Amino acid sequence: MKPDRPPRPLDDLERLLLRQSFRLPPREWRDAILNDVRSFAPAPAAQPASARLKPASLLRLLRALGGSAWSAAIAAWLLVVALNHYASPSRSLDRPPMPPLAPATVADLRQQRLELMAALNAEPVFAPSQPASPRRPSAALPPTRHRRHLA
Amino acid sequence: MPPGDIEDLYDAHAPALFAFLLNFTRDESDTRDALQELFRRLAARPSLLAGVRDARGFLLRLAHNLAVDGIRRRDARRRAHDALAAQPAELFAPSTNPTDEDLRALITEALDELPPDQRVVLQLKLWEDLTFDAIAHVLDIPLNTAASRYRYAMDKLRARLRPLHDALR
Repeated sequence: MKPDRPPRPLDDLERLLLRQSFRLPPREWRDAILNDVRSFAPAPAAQPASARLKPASLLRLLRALGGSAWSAAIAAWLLVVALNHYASPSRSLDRPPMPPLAPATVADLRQQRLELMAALNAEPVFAPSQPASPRRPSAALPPTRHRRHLA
Repeated sequence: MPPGDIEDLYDAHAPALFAFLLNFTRDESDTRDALQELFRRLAARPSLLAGVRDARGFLLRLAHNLAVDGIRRRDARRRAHDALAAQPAELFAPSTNPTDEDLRALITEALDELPPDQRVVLQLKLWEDLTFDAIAHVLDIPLNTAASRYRYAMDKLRARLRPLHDALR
């Protein structure tokens, strides 16, 4: 910024003009303007800053994150997914099969079953199932995928 | 911004902003609108003045921009300027001395005849005591333009008020 020249003395006309004082704003303007302005003042922050994030500012924030921040976020996400996967109950299905029972154990179990049937004098509870009537495949429907595989 | 702060701002700057706007627009309604909008913006965004070293210069610039926007909205620029030059306005404070009243009436008429661009430069230079550099910043014009507008304005006033000027010598 270039400095102005040293101020020169005012001439007569400038001094004459300078002696004139401007009007003041009407008094009623003050209250009217200040009352109006109060309705435009931002409300005090009652909610956390995170809740006041606008979409545009959130987008700017995400853009502003550097590559390392994104890498850290992705790594944390992968860790959560992995932990969730290993902690889920379905993982029990993937466990290796149990070792085969010892022959003595099998024999014991057979013996217990025979004793139980004898004790109950077991008769079949359910009627023997009827052989299923052969169903003609519907001509209108294509064979299921399972049948296609079997064919 | 706490209510007390905006009131303090109003008391400190409204008289100068009012005179500046009235001298520029020559219309009390436009002056009021611009002044009100200015303080609305200050209240809505208190951070506007954060880090501002020269609050008066900043507010004058904001006032000028708002007045220009208001004029643009109201009418086409040329018609607005014609209207500004034509509208009388009571610019100066009333005086009980009839001689002073006559003098002020003459000066007001002479100022009315100036283009608004020269009028505001004259006001900022004389009554606000701004440097040409500051005036250039407030009005967003080159420094040389500010200086030349002031010179043209003073030349016109001198010619217009020559009888009075000579009588006062």
